[in-house]
Amino acid sequence: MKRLRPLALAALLAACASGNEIVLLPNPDGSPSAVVVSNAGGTAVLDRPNAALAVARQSSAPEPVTLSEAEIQRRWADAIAYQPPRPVTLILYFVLDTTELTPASKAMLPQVLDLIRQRPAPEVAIIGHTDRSGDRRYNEELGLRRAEAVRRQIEAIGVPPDLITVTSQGAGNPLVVPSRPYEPRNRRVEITVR
Amino acid sequence: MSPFPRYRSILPLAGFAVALVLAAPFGMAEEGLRVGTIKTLRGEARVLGSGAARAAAIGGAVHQDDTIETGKDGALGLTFIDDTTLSLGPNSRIRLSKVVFDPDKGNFAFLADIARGTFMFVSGAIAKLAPQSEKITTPVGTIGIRGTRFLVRIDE
Repeated sequence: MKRLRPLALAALLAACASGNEIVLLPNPDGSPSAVVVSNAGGTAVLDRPNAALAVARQSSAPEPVTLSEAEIQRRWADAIAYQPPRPVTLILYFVLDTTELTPASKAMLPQVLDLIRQRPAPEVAIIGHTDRSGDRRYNEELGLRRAEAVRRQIEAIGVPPDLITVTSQGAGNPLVVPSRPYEPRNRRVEITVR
Repeated sequence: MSPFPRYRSILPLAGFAVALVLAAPFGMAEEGLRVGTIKTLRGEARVLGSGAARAAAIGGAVHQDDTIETGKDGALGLTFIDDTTLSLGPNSRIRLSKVVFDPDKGNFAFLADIARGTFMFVSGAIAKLAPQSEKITTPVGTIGIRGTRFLVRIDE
């Protein structure tokens, strides 16, 4: 870290006073990330959690600033509080060549439906999949029947039909590759809840 | 029997053509592609699209070119088709200049213009698949994203 010279310090104070700031938040899984801020005055990169930049105006380069956790929570309190829940993808598995859930997935279904119920204005994308037994057209159709079976359960808890999409990828997008033709982990429906 | 049988057969077609011409611009404005959905809401918030401004409501759609605005006690959160989530604190204003998520054709864009306010972004698939296609502009500079969660505050 180089020491700030008086001029840089003055620029920093001016930047603070402007109230324009960008803060990088840590990823929940700890994976690296970054944002790049550029304007007529220059370019700066934020690549450490809770690192912040202040930008006085379009013509002055973005300057690093330190914001405490408490300051961040106070300044962005409402934006943080009203951040929607992150979309999630859930998987239910099926018995070979049927639209019947495996016992484990059948037991999990109430939790899946609860999660959807708890979301505000849930949008649900349902994608049916199959293993590689059976021919292509049959698998497309079986994947669709599986997805439709899940759709009925989700409509039954009151999700409007226009917020549900149903598609099939047949055996074309296996979870486990390369798979044996009769791979149970590929007989599934993926449910993305937004 | 009509003395002008030929006109009879042509008129319904002509009417159909006029209806098509009239329907196209209105239909597109009303049913433009939903790119995001309002999930959380408090206080006063509005969506300004190509038509009249409408009060924000949970479950409401937002489209490309919409501007979203919160009042002095307002707050609002949106989830986009690529799983980007965006929330606005009070006195905030952002325009969704371009939102395209078409993985089948490899077309991606997420361009938004912030005028003022406080924001939290959690980027989605567009920032992962095509980071160059995602940019947030503000009055003091442009923000490029490399798959991340971040906060922005712009004073008026």
